[in-house]
Amino acid sequence: MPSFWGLRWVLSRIFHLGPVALLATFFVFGMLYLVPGDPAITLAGENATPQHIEDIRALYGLDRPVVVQYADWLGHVAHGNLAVSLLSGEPVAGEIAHRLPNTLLIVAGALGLSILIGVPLSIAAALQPGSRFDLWSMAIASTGVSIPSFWLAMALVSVFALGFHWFPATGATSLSDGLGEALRHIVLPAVALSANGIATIGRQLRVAFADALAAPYVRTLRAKGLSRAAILWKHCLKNVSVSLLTVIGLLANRLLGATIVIEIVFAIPGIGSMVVNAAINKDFPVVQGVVLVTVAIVIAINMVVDGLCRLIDPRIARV
Amino acid sequence: MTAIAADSAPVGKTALRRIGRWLRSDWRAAAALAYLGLLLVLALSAPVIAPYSPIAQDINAMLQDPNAAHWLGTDDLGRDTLSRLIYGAPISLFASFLAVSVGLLLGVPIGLCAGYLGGWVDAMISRVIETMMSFPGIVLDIGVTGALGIGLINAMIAVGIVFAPEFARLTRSQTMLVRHELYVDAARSFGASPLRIMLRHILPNAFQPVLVQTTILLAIALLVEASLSFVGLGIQPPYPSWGAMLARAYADMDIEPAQMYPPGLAILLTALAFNALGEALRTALDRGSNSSVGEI
Repeated sequence: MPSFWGLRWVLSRIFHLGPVALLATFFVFGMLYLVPGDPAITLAGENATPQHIEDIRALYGLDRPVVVQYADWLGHVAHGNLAVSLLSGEPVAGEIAHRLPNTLLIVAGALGLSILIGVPLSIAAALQPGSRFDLWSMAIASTGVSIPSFWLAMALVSVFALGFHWFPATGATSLSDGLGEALRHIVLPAVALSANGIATIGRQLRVAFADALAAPYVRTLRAKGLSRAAILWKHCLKNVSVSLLTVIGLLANRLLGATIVIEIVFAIPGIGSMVVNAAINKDFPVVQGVVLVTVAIVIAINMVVDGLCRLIDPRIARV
Repeated sequence: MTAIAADSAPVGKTALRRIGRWLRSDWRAAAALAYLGLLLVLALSAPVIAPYSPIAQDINAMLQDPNAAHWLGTDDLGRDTLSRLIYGAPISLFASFLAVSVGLLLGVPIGLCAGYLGGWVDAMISRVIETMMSFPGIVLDIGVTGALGIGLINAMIAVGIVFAPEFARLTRSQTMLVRHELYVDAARSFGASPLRIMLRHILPNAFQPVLVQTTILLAIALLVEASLSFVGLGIQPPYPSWGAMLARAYADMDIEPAQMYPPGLAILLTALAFNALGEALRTALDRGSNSSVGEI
């Protein structure tokens, strides 16, 4: 029975996410058509030689029908070929593959911190609703949602890197250069990024726990003499884990965006600083490549989250 | 009875009285509204109250600490930080309102059509909404800004485009809730056109949730504007926005770290005010509509 459900789920997901993924590629491709005027001339920039303009026109096949261009482009993407950078002439896919680990390391670090701090915080707050701790932690969480993470990053650099010299102010080293040094480089970026994540998880789960504790079966268990904490650990955690997974999915999406500005602050060679420089310099193949990779990551994460939610709560699977 | 506008009462004396009662009962909302009102006055009267021009450079007063002549110090070009902060207010606020307006104008009609017409129109629009929401917002902002061309207006139009699916999804779900209500059927049987039904009978139902969403997205727009101007895709020098001021402060962080605090705090407080107002509105409207206990 489980394998049957599993297969059905995978098939239904493919039917569902197939169109979304295809549409996403179409949007990424279509971004080129938001460029005002003749894209070839705009992308070539000022002082472009006619040859350069022609090269760009040929690269995108701008002289052919849109559908043909898209199909052609999609074919290349399907083979892992994301064209070459207009500035450096390097293949975009290789550059992204080279930089992606730096970005993912920070996002993973921030996500981990958000869960490790946000979940206990929400439990502690939900166990004493209306208490001073509840009110204060939720007030601080509201601030955490409103704080510009790159400003927090600057403040952290100013105090802990330039002031105390505890952590490096900029750069990144790969894991192969030694775990300790790589971790030292991601501490400040991950902490800056996690403020928002801790606040989001804390607030959302505080509501989820409160709802779970208000359910009728909890009243029955309380009447049996169980403490709130025991009920929470034994019975509510499963209910709340679906909310947690959903928030994590949402957060992965948000952190992948917010990390871009953090990478600029710390001069980290990730895909965020790559896409910003490309957008400023109108290096459109690079912009499209990075946007495509990030949306692919988000769709993949959503699929995993969805699968886990169905495993935990079979009721979702039957809908 | 602290609810405001539970039924769609015409805006008038009763509505004003309800808002007054709501603000007295919820200090968060009152404080947020007071702060935003003050900021708006400050922003509109920037040329009158700012002590210096926001773009006047003074090579004799570069990177100064706060002092009697420059209350918040100066930046690396000798420009008065307080003046830039005050002039940055209208720019940052305008940018936020522009982005949210674009999102509203695109998203609400699309959501209304999807929810009311249903069928394949709805199926298609819903797929598009879901796809757009799979993109990390800022990544899409950067891509669209890169395509449209860098600059504050283009950047905020890009942010508005990214906001549109959020408004569309919300309006669609509100529309689905009421499209089979008796009064909608009644309007239809009287021969009202679909356009009239959507605008006169369905749209008012979406007003309250959309208002809450608008307030919260204003906070996000402010943060995104700061991010985009910080990385150089938003407002261009020499004009100040709070994000652009942070970019200058970042460049001189090792010499004059204090310069990062005024614009950062301004962004934080303003985003906090928009968020607090949104949360307070949501709580008040929830209480008004189904008398459930509003959570956080």
